Amino acid sequence: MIILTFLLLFGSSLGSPSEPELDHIIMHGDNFFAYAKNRHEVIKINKEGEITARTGRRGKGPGEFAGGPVKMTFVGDTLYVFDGLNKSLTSFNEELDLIETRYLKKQLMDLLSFEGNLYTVTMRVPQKYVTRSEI
Amino acid sequence: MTHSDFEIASITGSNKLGAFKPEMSTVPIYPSFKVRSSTELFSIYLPYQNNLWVYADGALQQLSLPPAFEPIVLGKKMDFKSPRMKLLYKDHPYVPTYRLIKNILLSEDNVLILQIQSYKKGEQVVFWDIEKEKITKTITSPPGKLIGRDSTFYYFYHDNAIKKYTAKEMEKCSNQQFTFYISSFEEQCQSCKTSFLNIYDWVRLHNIPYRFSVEDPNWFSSADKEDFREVVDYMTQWNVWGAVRFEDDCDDCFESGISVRVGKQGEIISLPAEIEKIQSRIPCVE
Repeated sequence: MIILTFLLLFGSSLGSPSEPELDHIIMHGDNFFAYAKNRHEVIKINKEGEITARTGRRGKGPGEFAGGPVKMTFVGDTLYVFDGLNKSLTSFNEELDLIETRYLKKQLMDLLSFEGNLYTVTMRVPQKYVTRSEI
Repeated sequence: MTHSDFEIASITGSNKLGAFKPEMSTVPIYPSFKVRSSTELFSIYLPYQNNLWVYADGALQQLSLPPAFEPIVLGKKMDFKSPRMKLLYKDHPYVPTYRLIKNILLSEDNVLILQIQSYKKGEQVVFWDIEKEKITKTITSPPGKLIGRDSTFYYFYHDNAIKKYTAKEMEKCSNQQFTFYISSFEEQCQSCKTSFLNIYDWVRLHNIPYRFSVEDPNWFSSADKEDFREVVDYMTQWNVWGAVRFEDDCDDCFESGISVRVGKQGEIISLPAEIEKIQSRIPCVE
């Protein structure tokens, strides 16, 4: 068994003793991508456990996260990250360079990559509860 | 709201893949299902119950784990102070204690790799052939959450680290049997508990199949769900996990607070005990 310790870089570089709490870890190619929910960052980790890129901070702007439920998926080489509090869908390339942030009107339950396309999982709301702005 | 439909569609909503309806959700407002996808397959599951959906061959199909696993996790009943909360959670008024389906990976050849946390079977990595509708292999899971695999390794996230294992490493002790006999989870002997936790960690680290054997409190009847619930509560407090069974025909097993045994007929070793004493009885660990 090989143990790969990592992530201590976070505490020292950001001046905080708290370790990142990783949420929603996904594997893509030779790397892992995860959301550090206590730091509002998306991080890239190689198979040796080293952090090779990271991006994001707390906020509502492009490339920022408010810390709500976060969902992530890759479509091709593009990483999509949905932030449930901001209702924002942010895309990054594999090096975590920001491509764009879109703000949605609807809440997504999850993201799904399938046959090269991005799909969303949403709750079906009965028509009587749908407001005009959401139609 | 507890039985909402969910829809899978493109971001514009123009291209719809299908819809599904969970039988229950532990969190009615924000459902706790998870989605995993690969190029040609995707699955949706609820961590707290035994059914899942798989989209394959153009259709969303619902599957259930085999009966060897419990149908739903055990949990604690909520004490409602607010009538509104009571109304909201009326169908499922409990807090789940663990995740039955901990994670799913999708493999080639229509195989789902499920990491299961079950009080009936312990924590296992299960390979499930969707086409044949059967489990083709089970491996005792190492500690942590299965997060990925490649042609050589399985990757787990545990203690803030990524740990990787080959299939050979994970399976090398699969023919072993290891039992923890626990007469009481309210063990007052701190050194016994410390020894138990050390051995528990070591056994898991080496993928040795293990289980907890608890003295049957009923003697003349089989243990019911409430007994399991109590044991699972204690296990959660101790932060341990494994298959549970009740036993009432082994006086020697429960003479001391916590004991262990390697194999079916091995010597019963009372804790505290050194790991070296255990290791010498398990040849698969070098």
